[in-house]
Order: sequence, then structure tokens, then C-alpha cells
Amino acid sequence: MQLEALQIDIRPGSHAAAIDLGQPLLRRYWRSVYLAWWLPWLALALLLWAILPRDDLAWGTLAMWWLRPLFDRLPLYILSREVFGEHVTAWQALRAWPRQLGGWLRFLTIWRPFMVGRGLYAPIWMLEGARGKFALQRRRALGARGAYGAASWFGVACLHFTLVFELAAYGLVAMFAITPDDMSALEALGKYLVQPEVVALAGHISYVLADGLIGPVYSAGCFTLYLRRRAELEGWDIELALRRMAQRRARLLKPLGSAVAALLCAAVFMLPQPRAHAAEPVLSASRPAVVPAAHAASGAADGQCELPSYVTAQQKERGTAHDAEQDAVRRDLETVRASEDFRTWKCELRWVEKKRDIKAGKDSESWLYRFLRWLFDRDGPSRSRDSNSGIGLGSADMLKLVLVAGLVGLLAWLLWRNRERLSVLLASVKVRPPLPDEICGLDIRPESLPDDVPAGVRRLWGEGRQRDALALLYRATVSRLAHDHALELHAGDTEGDVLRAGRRAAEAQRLPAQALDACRDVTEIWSAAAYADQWPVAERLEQVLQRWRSALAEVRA
Amino acid sequence: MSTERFTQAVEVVRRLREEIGRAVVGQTDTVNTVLASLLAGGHVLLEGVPGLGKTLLVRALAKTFAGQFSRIQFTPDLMPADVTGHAFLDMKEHRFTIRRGPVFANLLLADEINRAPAKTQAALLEAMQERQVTIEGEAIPLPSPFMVLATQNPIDQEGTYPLPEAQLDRFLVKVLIDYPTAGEELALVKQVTGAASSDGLDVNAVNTLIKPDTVLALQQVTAAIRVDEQVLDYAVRIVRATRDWPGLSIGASPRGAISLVRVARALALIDGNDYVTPDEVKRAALPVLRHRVALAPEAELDGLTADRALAGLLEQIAAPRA
Repeated sequence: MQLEALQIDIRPGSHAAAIDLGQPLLRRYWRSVYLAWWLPWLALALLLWAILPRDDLAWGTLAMWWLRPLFDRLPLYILSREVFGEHVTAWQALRAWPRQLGGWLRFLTIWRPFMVGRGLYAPIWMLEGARGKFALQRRRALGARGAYGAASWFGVACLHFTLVFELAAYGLVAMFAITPDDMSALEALGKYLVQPEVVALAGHISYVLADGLIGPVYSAGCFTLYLRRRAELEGWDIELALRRMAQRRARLLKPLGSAVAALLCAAVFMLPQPRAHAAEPVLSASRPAVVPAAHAASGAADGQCELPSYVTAQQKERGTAHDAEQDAVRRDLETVRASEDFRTWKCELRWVEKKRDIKAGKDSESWLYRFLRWLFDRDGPSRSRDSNSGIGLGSADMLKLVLVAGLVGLLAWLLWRNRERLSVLLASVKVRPPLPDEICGLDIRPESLPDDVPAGVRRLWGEGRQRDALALLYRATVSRLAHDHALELHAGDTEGDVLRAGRRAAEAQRLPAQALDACRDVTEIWSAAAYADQWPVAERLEQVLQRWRSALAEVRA
Repeated sequence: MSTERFTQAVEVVRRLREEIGRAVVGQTDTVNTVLASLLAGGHVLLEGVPGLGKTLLVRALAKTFAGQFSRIQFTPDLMPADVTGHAFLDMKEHRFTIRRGPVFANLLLADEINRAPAKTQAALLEAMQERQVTIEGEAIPLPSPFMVLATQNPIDQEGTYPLPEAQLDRFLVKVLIDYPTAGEELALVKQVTGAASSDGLDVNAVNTLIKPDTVLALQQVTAAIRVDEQVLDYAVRIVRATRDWPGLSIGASPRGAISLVRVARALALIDGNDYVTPDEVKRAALPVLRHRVALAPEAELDGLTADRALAGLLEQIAAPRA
């Protein structure tokens, strides 16, 4: 089941909430559902009306009510596919409908239409295909914890709605269809509704309208209740959450995995060529080799190679079969074990070097490669006979284990001991985000500023463009903080936020105290000017400019 | 507004903060926001788990101020007449006499306001908005200044009644009191255990500084603080952004923008500035807007809070640069 494709969010909750969920589902696919329902429903209604005598049309209405469970199949067919993202048209549902009727006809007993909660069990038969005792168990499981009760009460509620609609439709039919001009609707009802053929016709039409409206509502509600019960029993929500976690992890680990793969590739190329291949008893360049399944590469050519030694050894240990029956059983067993699911080995084609010089190869192997081969080569010369026989770990294996454990422990200890240095190192190599060009409409690119900012400010101030002068000074300050001192600023940062970022940088020794003071001065005069039209006196400005030059201009120089 | 009057106001506010600081250790932002509400003439909703000093803060504020202070402990059986007052038949004089309820005070502490049903909570609506109470058809004005400080506990939901939106909107700010920092908590424990009672911080150390008239004068000074067009525009942009921000289903009303500017003015006075900067608007945004917005159900299910949504919004709304 493609749970990821589930189009609705099934959450734990009450049965009533689960039934409610059916209504938005129906609203979404109402066109196809109602079309699929109404085509056969109307056809049956017309057929019954056409073939039955007018006085006996009530029997036709009863027959429609009795056949109602057959029509529940249509909304269920459409919704059960749409809910998993498969689009189904009304026509497709109608074409599939006859195939589904066979089993249902068997169930059309006298009492079935009276089962008001039958909608909950319908998917068990139709969608799960459960039959007999198993179906009974499924019904018990799904109907437990009050689910069948909820479906039944929902059925009762739908029945009431049907009656209300039926009465309304009854009145409507009577009023519009049989009221003569000189009579009020009530008088007409009183006069005509005592005639059996009118009663039967009005009842037939009103039932067809009312049940045609409510039927899909009932099916949709029961279907979502069924889905929620299954979700509850089978833990769909947990499974979905786990799958989402797995996907998230996969996304996160993908770059890391690529990096690890790249490192491994680099390590493989840096090591000497694996002469061990040459040492393998492989004679042909294209001879298939047997490798354990876990190590098999892609491009396998199954069925072309001999069985692995441990398999043939097991077969030899069994000895000969006592009789033909045992032989047949063994062959069957071997066939099963050789199948994809149970096989523990894989056959693959591998190109190997034909020319080889074992001695020279061994000599030219690096110590690292020899060590790794000794460590991981299960068929290496140093392998203990004990371990080969499967009795236990040999001395070499024990030594390897101790050595590896020691190495891992040493590495962990070194990392722990130098954790602070490492964190500093990692912090220093942290990738800096690209420097912003613009903050809140202020162009803070260094090239947008004059070479000598204080001189530029003085010139503008002298020309009487005080606001421009202070704006330039503030812009230059923010630019210096962002570009020279790597302050992370955002579009929504106010002057206070910039100052606070500067204070944090100063506390982290990333911004000199002098620069912070200069920033504070500039912010103060800029804010007063920008938001209160309070301009600094020339002396104060000069003082700020000098402090700015010594604190922020030097870095640039 | 004369500079001298402004300087006096800044000095009074500074001393008020100092006095409150004698009883309330740390919680600088909370104290500033509550004080800003007093200066802006608004009401405060304080929310925090028990034991963080909500009631203490209100009592300390009341002590600094020589006006009338009353306290109502909201309980499930509290009736509206217990808050506002009622008319009763005076048998001696043979006429109806109005007995005024605890709402007739300058500072009203509505403790655990969400423990009373909505009917009783709504009794405060008229008092908070109109600053008057109608008893037996007679509208009686409340003393001025009038400020409601309501407290509520966010974790104890059993037997509580959430405040209706209309009531929430009447509060100028909603202040969330968080746990103190390690340093503050150390100082607090030292101060309490060093005292004679060793039971809790008391407000006896707080001196009474101002009269109700002084508060009115401070409110006038606050209202006269200059707000630049760009700062107003910034406040309005923030409030308008809450209306179509992802994760928020209901945004703040224009009253939110008005409140934002009022609180920003008061914060400017507390900072000693006679003009408002975008920084004050931004600082005021969370307390002013957090109870005026509603999270979308899916955002709530994802664990988002109003504060986080608003913080994201504030980061994105460009601050003005003249």
C-alpha cells in the first residue's frame, strides 16, 4: 500500500471526526461519485417505473431500497482510489461495477439493508477481498472500540436525513406536479395524496431523489471511518512519520554520503593497485566469480558460475539421499535456496589482470595496504585454522579485535581531549554566507562608498545636505560592519539590532571595542537626525568622524 | 513639550524602575513593558507559570503609586456584580444605594482572570474600554488613571475559561514572564533567604513615589513624544503584514497598530528619548501583537507559536532607513 500517496491526513481522534473527514473527501470528488451513482440509480428507477403498474410502484421503491447496498460500491470504488492519488472517472467506476456485483448479490439477504452500519464492513469484502472466517475476524477487529456503533449511528442519522429529504421532496413533487391553479398546495395535497397511484409516484420520486443524495454521503463517511480504524490498527501514522523521517535523513545525508564516497574513492586511488586480485586463482579475464551477496557489485551475471565452496561443503556433508523421496525434497530445497530471496551469494563478472608477479606485487604493496588486507581479508594467510573451522576466534582475530578497539578508543579520546580546539577550528572554517549588497534599501557595497568617507560626509555637510551626510556615514558604518567584521545582518534589522549585533561581536572578540563605540556614536546621531530632525552640532559631528576614522577606516586601509 | 518637563518625566520613570527593582529581581524587559503600559494608559495581561512573580510585580507597581489599589481573585463562582458593584435597598433611608465594587480603583489586579467564566470576565469589558461602569442604568466613571493588570497561568487548563477575543483585544500588551536567568535567580534566592521571613520577596522595601496626578502627567508626556512618518509607516506595515502572513489565520486590527505606536512611545520615554525609533516599535511588537493574532490550525499542529511567527515576520519586514 502506497501510504505516501494518501491524499488525506488521518489523525488519531474520535470516530465522529473520522466520519466527518468523509465529507470533505466527497466534496472534492463529488462530480464523479454522484455521476457514477446517479446513472444506474436513475436507470433503475425509470425501469421500475416503466415496467410496474402505477398502483404497485411502491414495490419498485422497496426494491430500490433493498438493492441500495449494490450502489454503495460505486462511491467506494472511486474514493478508495482517489484517496491514494489514482484518478478514476465515473465511467471507469461504472465499467468496473458489474465485476463487483457477483459477490454482493450473494449478500443481498433480507436483513442486509437493515444493517445500518454495513458501510464500515463493505471495504473488507470489496477492497481487502477477505472472505469467510478471515472476513469475520476482520469485521470483528475493525468494528471493535465502538467503530461499528459509530457507523450504525451514522447510518441512522443518514436514514433520518433521507426521511427529511424524502418528505421535503414529497411535498415539492406534490406541490409542483399535482397542484392545479385554483387550489392551494395544502388543498392539493389533501385531495390528491389519498389517491394510491399519486402516493406511489410521489413516494418513488422522493425516495430516488433523497437516497441518491444521501447514499454517497453515507458511503464516504463509513469509508473514512474504515480508513481511520485501519490506520489505528496498523499504525499508519507512525509508519508515515518514520518514512518522512527517513526521507529527511536521506536528504540530509546525501551531501555527506557524496563526500564520504569521494573520500573513499580518493583513498582507493591513493592505495597501490590491488594486486590481491592477481593473487586470486582466476584464470580467465571474464570468468564469473562468486562473492558474498553483501559485497556483490552491480552487473551480476547469475547462474553462470560454480557454487561457492561453503555451499558445496554443506551439500557434501549431507551424504547421499536415502531414497528418491528425500532426493526430491533436497532438490526442491535447493531450488528454493537458490532463489533470489534466500540465496546468500551472488555471481558477478569481473575483469582481472592476467599477467601477475606475486612476489614483486607483494614487495611493492604499501604497509597500509598489507595491514588492511591482513585486517579484513578473510582468506588471508594469517587466518587461524580455529576460526576457519568455526569453533571460535583465533589468536590473530583476537589481536585484530583488540587493535581495532584500541585504535577507535584512542581516536575517541583524542577527539574528546581536543574538543575545544576542534570546535574553534570548525567555527573558523564555517562557511560565511555571501555578503549582502543591500540592507533595507541602503547600498552597503564598499565600492558604492567614497574612498574617504569622513571627507565625503564633511563635504555634504558643508553643502547643507545634512541628512545625506549622516545617511552616508551610517551607510558606511553598516557596510564596514558587514564586510570587514562579518556581522550577519538581516532586512528587518533596526538600528538597535545592528548595534546589538555589534555588541555580540565585540563580546566574541570579533569587533574591536573602538569600532563598537564608533558604531554607537554614529547610530545615536543618525537616529536623532532621521527620526526626530535633531541635528548634531558641527563639533560633535567632527568628534564622531575622527573616532570613526580611527576605528573603522583603518581596517579598510 | 518643554525639555525640562521631559527630563523630569525621564527621571521619575527611572526612579520608578529602581523602586520596582527593589522587589522584583531581574525581569528587566517585563518590568519595562508593564511600566510602558502604565505610561501609555493601557491594560496588561501577564502570563506565566506560578512562582515567577506576576503578582509581586503588580503589587510593587501599586506600592510605587499612591492611588487606590484593589485586587480580585477570580474564581469560578465570581459574579459580575462582585467585580463592578451592585445596587441594594437601604432599609433605613428607603432607597436604593449603589455599592461600588473593587473595580473602582486606580490599579486593579485581576488575579488568575481565566478562572472566572466569560460572563464575569466580560464585566471588565466596559470598565477597560469606556473607563466607566454601568450599574442599574447609571454610568459611573472610574477614577483616573485606571489600569487593569490581569494574570493568568498558561499550563493549568483544567477549570479555566480562555479569554474571549474581544476581551484580549482590550489589553494593550500581553507579557509572557519567563524563568529568570541563572544570575537573576541566584540574586533572588539570596535576597529572599536573607530576609527575616525567608518566605518570599515582599514589597515593603518599595517606596511610594508618585500620585495619580503624576501618572496622568507622565501619560501626557508620553503621548507628546515625536513619532516620525517613517516609524509610523513601519508600525503599520508590521500590523498589516500579520493579516496575510503564512501561519497566521487572523491578523491584528488597526487597534493593534495604534497600540504599537503607544507602547513604542512609552518605551522611548523609558529609554530617555524624546522620539521613537524603529527599534522601539520592534521591541513593542511582540507584547502588543501576540494576543491579537491567531495561529492557523496547521501551524499550531506543527508546533509554531504566535511569538515565533511574529519573530519571523519582524525579521522580514524591512526597517525604515531615512
